[in-house]
Amino acid sequence: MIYILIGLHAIFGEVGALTFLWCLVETMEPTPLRLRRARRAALIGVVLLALSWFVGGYYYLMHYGPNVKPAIQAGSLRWAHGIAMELKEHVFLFLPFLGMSVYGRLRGSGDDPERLNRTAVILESFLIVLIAFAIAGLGYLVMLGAHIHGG
Amino acid sequence: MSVRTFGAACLIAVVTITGLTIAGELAEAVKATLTGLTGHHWVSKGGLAIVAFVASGLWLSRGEGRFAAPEGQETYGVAVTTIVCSLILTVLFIARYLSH
Repeated sequence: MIYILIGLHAIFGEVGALTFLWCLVETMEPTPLRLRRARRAALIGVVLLALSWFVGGYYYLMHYGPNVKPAIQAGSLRWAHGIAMELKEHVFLFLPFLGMSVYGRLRGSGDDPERLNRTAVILESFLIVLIAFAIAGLGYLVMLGAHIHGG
Repeated sequence: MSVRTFGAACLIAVVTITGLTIAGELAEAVKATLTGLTGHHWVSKGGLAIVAFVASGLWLSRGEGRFAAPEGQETYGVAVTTIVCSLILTVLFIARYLSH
């Protein structure tokens, strides 16, 4: 059950991030059709990031806090929680709101490329992808702390 | 909510998360208050960020014309704020770890 939760959290998060990579590509040279696809992708991305938040939060509260955190803190890689996990769990919270900002911009422009703030959508989508994959890297460091040195 | 208010509300949510995290790490009383709200400080930060996002979005959308941001700010505001807040949190947690 625990590994299923971790897997779902990672899958929702990374697929959510990839939908914003899709948005980024669609808005590089926007047409009405591409804007419609980007809008759908952004909405799916927001839902996936929200699901990742709730699944990850449930795992964090029910398993990580009581079991994994004390094991890491007792081991030699204490920074895996003190820096990597703390940073991961807080910066992650930015992502659903960034996703909402991208979706809002796409929804507001409708099918008209002239009304789209293309630079903002590309920048914010790129940030979502960058942060999400950086968070996946931090997750790997947390796993190292838990399994190699945490006991 | 409109296009502009989605961006502004996102910016306020990001700043809320960062502000609550800094306050919670620097003042034990703040962390205890956040923990008291929901049982865990992280859940409270997320919940308060949602409240800040919705409340600011609705409030800003009422005065749309008056609160319109300049074009540069409208384009780069959310991205720059997110990058700066991410860097602040990185420095905060490294400093906290090294000081213990």
